[in-house]
Amino acid sequence: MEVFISPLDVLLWSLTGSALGLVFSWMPGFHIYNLLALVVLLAPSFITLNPYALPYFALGAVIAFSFASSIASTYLSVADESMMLMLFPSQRYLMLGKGHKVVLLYLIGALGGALFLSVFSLTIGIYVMPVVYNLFSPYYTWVLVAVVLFLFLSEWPKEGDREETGFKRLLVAWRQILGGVFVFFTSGILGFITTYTGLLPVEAAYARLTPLFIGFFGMSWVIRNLLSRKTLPKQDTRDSVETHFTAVVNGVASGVIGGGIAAFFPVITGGMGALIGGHIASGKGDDTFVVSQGAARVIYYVGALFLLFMPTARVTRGAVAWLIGSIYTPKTWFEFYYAGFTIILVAAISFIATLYISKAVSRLLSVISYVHVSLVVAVFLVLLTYLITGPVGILLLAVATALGFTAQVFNTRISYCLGALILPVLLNMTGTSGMLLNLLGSR
Amino acid sequence: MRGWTHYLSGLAMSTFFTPLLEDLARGILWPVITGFYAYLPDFIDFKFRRFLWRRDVLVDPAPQDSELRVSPRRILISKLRPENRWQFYYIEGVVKAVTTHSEELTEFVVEDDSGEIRVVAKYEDCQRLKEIIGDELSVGVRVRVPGYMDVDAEGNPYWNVADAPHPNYIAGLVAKAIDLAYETGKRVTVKIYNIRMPGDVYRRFLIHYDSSNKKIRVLMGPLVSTGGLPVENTGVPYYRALGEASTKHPFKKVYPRPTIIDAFSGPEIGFVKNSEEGVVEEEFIPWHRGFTHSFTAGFIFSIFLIPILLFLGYGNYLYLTLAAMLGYWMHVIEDQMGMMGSVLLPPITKKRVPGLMIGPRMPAAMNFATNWAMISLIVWNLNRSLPSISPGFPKIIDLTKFTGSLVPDVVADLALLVILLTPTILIYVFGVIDRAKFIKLLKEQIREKELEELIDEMEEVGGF
Repeated sequence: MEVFISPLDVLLWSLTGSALGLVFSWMPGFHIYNLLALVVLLAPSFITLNPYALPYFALGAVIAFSFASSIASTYLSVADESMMLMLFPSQRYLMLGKGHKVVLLYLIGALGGALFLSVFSLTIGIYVMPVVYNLFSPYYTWVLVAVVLFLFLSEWPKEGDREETGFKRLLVAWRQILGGVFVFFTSGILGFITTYTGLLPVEAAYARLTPLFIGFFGMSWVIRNLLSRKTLPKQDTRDSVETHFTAVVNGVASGVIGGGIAAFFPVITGGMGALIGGHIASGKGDDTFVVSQGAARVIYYVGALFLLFMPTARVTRGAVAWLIGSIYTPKTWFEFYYAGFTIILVAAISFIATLYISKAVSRLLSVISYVHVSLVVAVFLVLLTYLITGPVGILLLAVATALGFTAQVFNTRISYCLGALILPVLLNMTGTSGMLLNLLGSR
Repeated sequence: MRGWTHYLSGLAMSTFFTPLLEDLARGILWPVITGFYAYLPDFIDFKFRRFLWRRDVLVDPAPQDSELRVSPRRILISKLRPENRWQFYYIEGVVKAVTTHSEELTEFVVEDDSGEIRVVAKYEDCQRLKEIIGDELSVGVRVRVPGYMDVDAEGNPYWNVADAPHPNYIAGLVAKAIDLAYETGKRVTVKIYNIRMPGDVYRRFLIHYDSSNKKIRVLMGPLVSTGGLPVENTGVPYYRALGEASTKHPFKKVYPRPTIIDAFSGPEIGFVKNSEEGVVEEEFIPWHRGFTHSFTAGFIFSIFLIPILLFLGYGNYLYLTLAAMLGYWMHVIEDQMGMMGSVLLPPITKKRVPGLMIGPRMPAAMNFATNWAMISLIVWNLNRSLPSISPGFPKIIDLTKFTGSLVPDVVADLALLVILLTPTILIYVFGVIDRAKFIKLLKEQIREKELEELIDEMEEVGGF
């Protein structure tokens, strides 16, 4: 069997990737997809240095990202499209002085997810994944539409219970449900315009949805923090967590299922997968929920990329896989096994590193005003958006922020903003995108 | 079963029909309707009936601030009425006089624009009061005091410092509703509101039906998160943790799970007199598992689908209608595995038929097993339909590759189904065993309770 890469190279490149991931991912707004695209664009000589090692560099970075990005979402209320379901419990814990506990629970889930991913993929996965791929590949649109429909159907009316008459109760409850539908379709149209029209410059094409996601899931929360003039209690930074073993097992199980669905089926994100995973594994309680988010994110991001390494499947899922696959696609069993062990190694390193970053951020927030931190984050997000996408990006960011707010006003799931990603793809899959382009006068 | 489980069951039903699978493979997505149909019973109940259901008695232990949507709400002293006794509010005013101020008892008078009231803090609540208003309690200071109105031995009202309502309030109203149901012979629906506190946490409380002593007991618990996780050091002191009220008439609890109220929203509980037994029966969330959860409803709703599909010009409308009906029925069947049961076949059956109670202590496993079964059915159907949908393509999973021509194709297909369903079958077997153990445990507990009551009676008559 031909060997393209030595174990030392694997180690070196995956650790370099993980260093990149750990350094940037805890900061708000830095998504690993954009970061890797920037590396490819800005340092092509670094990438071509050893193309066989590039997949390990990306793998290391993605693993580190899926661990360290929990910092931004926990402490700074900035999440990405896969994380939106985690905001509420993490905010609650943070307000109780237990932000570090959330991170620890998340990391336990992430480590569990990484271990499962590695062991499953290296053993049963090599037989199961090709079967699943061959069986389901003609039905992707069905699965996607079914998941989106369930997202609407399962919306739980949180208000209306205390109104005096039945009609009023119904009206208030349905305001939330219809608010979700409104946010989904409005975000969808925004995503459609961003994707199919030349609003953004070509150089920013790799990050065309970045201003939208920063607006939906980041900026709207940061501004909310600013408006509510939130103050944080002193954070407990002890490395211990009281939870039940079954909560961890249940959390990892629902995360693995949810993340697995999201990693395998195109366009379904980690958050949507986690919703289904939670229903299948009957996850209950905040602890289980946070653990499941950790597992789901690792499986979603890392699992999607790992599919590229699997010789029996070699499925390209996720932006990183597409980016790496365009330069070099791993081919041999050795490369696959190396990747499997890389996952365990980098996951362990990321676990420890994220724990220390969490402590440092936690202590920092005890001495700096949360309002000031939120202000810095807001300015940073605007600057980042401007640097990546220019002035039009700022405009898109503003509209997306307003939509993120709208979801909060309707008290509905912020995940409906994912319409920006889902609707254009759905229209494309069903061959109806031309119709909308005509309606918008873009054709 | 969780919502997704029902939904997936509906989707699984559509895969039994090859023409529908052919449509799905071609991107014709109408068969997704089967998932919607399987979810429909809960959709109607939880998105419509729940809000439109008539409420006869409202139990609001801690009315919410209308703007902040959290408890407690401010109440003017002059607005305090006997029916507000034990309800959790806060009063705000100026300290007019301090009569007692010690570690175990603090008493002072608060005056607002509408009137004045004596405020009393006992034991642990003295510390609670200190945390709220600080160290200095003196005349002229403006204070905001959470708690509830109570009445002392002389019948004078006073304000009791507290961080939760007194459970007597809830117990009293539930007992009253039971008596009302008995006396009127009509269903009385009690709406119990939950207690939402600042920080998106909820005060948990439990309602216990002691039918043999004709008592309603309510236990006030700690603050919990929306996920049900208790927040440390938020329990209420023992002297205001337990509430009790007696009913005049007999009653019995039908739904075997305890009534616990915390996050999201409080339940509606119906009380209906069973004339044959002369007892009031509890009907947990009466708007749920009624007609919507029946085979009859599944049949009727599916019939409505035919003209809609014909109007849309969908050719395989009959297959889809059949699959949608099966999806709906699957929901009814799956719910019947639990405790509550459903009406099943109205108008032949008029009341909920009790559930089979399989795996009562392992609901998560049962839910997972059902999901697994549905995924297995989908995989099995996709696999066996592949040669028909894509002529020339072999099945992805073909057991005859291992068995050769010795085993016919149909048998190999069935064997695959059995293999796929094995985890579900095993979990369901455990569920049946769990059911038997649970029933045995319930019987033992009832025997122990009877024995305890016997001992109590003997003590009373001097038998010991």
